[in-house]
Amino acid sequence: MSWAGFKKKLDRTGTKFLQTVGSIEKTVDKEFEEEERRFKSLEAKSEKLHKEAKGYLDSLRAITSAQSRIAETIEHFYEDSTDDTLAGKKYKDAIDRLEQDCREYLDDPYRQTVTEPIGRFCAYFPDINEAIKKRDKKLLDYDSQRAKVRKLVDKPSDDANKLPRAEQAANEAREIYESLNTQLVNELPRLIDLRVPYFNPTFEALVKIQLRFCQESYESLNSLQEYFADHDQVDNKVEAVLQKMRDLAICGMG
Amino acid sequence: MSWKGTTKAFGRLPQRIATKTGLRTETKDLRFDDIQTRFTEMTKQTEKLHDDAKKFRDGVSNMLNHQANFADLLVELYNPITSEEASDGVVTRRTKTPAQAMKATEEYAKLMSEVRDTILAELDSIDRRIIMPATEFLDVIKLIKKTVTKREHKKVDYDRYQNSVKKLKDKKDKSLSEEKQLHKYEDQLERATQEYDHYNELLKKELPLFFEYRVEFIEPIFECFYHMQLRIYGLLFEQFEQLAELGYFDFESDIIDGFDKKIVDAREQLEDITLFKRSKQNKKQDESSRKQSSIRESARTGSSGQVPTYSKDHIEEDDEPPAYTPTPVRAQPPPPPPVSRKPKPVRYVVALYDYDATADGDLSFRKDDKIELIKRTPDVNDWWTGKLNGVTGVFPGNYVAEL
Repeated sequence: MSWAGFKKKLDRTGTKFLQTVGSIEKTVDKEFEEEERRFKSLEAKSEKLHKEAKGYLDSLRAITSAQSRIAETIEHFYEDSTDDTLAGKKYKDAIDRLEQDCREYLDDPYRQTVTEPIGRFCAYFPDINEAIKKRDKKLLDYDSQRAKVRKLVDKPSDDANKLPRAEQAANEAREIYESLNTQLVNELPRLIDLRVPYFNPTFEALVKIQLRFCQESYESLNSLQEYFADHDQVDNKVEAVLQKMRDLAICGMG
Repeated sequence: MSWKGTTKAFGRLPQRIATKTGLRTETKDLRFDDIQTRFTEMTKQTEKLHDDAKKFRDGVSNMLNHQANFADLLVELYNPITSEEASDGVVTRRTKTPAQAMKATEEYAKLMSEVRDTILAELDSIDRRIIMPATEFLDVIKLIKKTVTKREHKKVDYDRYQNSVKKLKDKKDKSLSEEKQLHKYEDQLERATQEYDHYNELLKKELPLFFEYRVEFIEPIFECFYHMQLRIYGLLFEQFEQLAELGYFDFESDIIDGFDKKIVDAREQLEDITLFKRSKQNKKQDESSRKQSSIRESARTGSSGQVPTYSKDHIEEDDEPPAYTPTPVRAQPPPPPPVSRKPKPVRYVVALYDYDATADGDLSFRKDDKIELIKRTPDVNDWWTGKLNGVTGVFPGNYVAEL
């Protein structure tokens, strides 16, 4: 930090302290504060949205890769048995196709229409926060200059030039603060209002991607129905086989 | 290990070492080895199935949660953003979210939480019907492994007694005690042979049976998994179809094209917000004043760099890293580069902003990097070709200033 920057910081810390103890008056702009709170709420929600969007893609990938590995294993299980390899083979083909489709038609569109746009929106927030911080600092400067003027009015100095100079400084500080404040008060609502037009295309694209994903998965799996028996008896079957295995003499050594 | 077990393990040790070092020969049963390889492979496969089924289950439950949370957040975002402690007397300008959009998000959130609850409630059948049986199957495998180990031990015994008997038999002039010893070894050899044969034959007979059962076992599991998958995707599909019935979404257009068309307006308006640029512009000013000696300010920065009030055109052309959509722009091949009027050996440009490659063939650089210009077009909104640190690639022309 530069020397000037350090000194400014020190002065502002002093002003802040004097404000808390009440010896310097604090300017309050309710309108700004309201907008700031709304902005903070937008920021928090958008960032959470970004996180959920990323998590969604990750879980989709986890699902598709787990199911393709399962298909592989199942095919392997069938490999050395003579009958009924068809279902395993057909199933593996279908899952492989889905996996490939996902890579081609899901990953990129999702990134381009969902995660990146939301991320880009969130990338604006640091700028705003910087502007808010700057506004707060300039406000402190203004408050402190104004307090100096007041002091000079209450206790006129011997130097007649002091008061006009302080007034001039206070005016300048006010101008700087006000221009920043007005900009924020005008533009924060604009940003907040833009959230719906901005997120809406993402919303639509997301729904389209999701629909496509489950439709394709459903339809391609559904076309394999004929290879699969009804699964009502499944539980008993599994239990029966496991029992047969346990009955083998090679399992009796425990 | 029991005391007995320890003694046995100890007794087998010399034989193991001897076979390892190749001093003594080991009985080989190729058919058994074959079966055992298959058995090991199967164990691995089953473990994999077990783990992947878990991953699948967790993936589905994460997906359902993420999509429901996303939908809820969207509803929150579409609802008017207010601060909790709304102060009276302050008139805030708020644009209401179009009723249709609001309805669509609410419907979306409702359907997503419904489908989450429905599927999550059924998801434990993956546990019950796939993961648990696979665990039990692995337990069976563990039992069989014990038998395999036992056979292995018996084989070591068999080999070592055979060895001892052979050694003594080969010896001429046996002492009395050696004769006795031989008898003892022969007894032991006989027992070891029996035991080894027993386990060896048993495994050779029953492991193939077990392999057959395994197919019987995997079939219902497979069917079950298939039906579960079908059900999950079916339920999801149903919900999204319901959502489509709202008529709010345009399912005709391509996903990316539709998105690109719709986002343009909002993106432009967002870029109009001067708050975002102010900081960047200031930074640029600082930067350029610091580096004035080395960088001659280009006409572009000079024209608007210091002017606090700017028109929209200036902003878009000059101050903000311009919004660009890589794909559509790149789709049109850039016009042929004009012949350079002043043919200089090497020309350089300086990066005004950071640029990260968004596609293969893009040149990434950081602000203030000096890039060798290989090919430029008259249009700054075009893609130019440059070279940096030995890498050649294209980049948006409006990200750099010419020296």
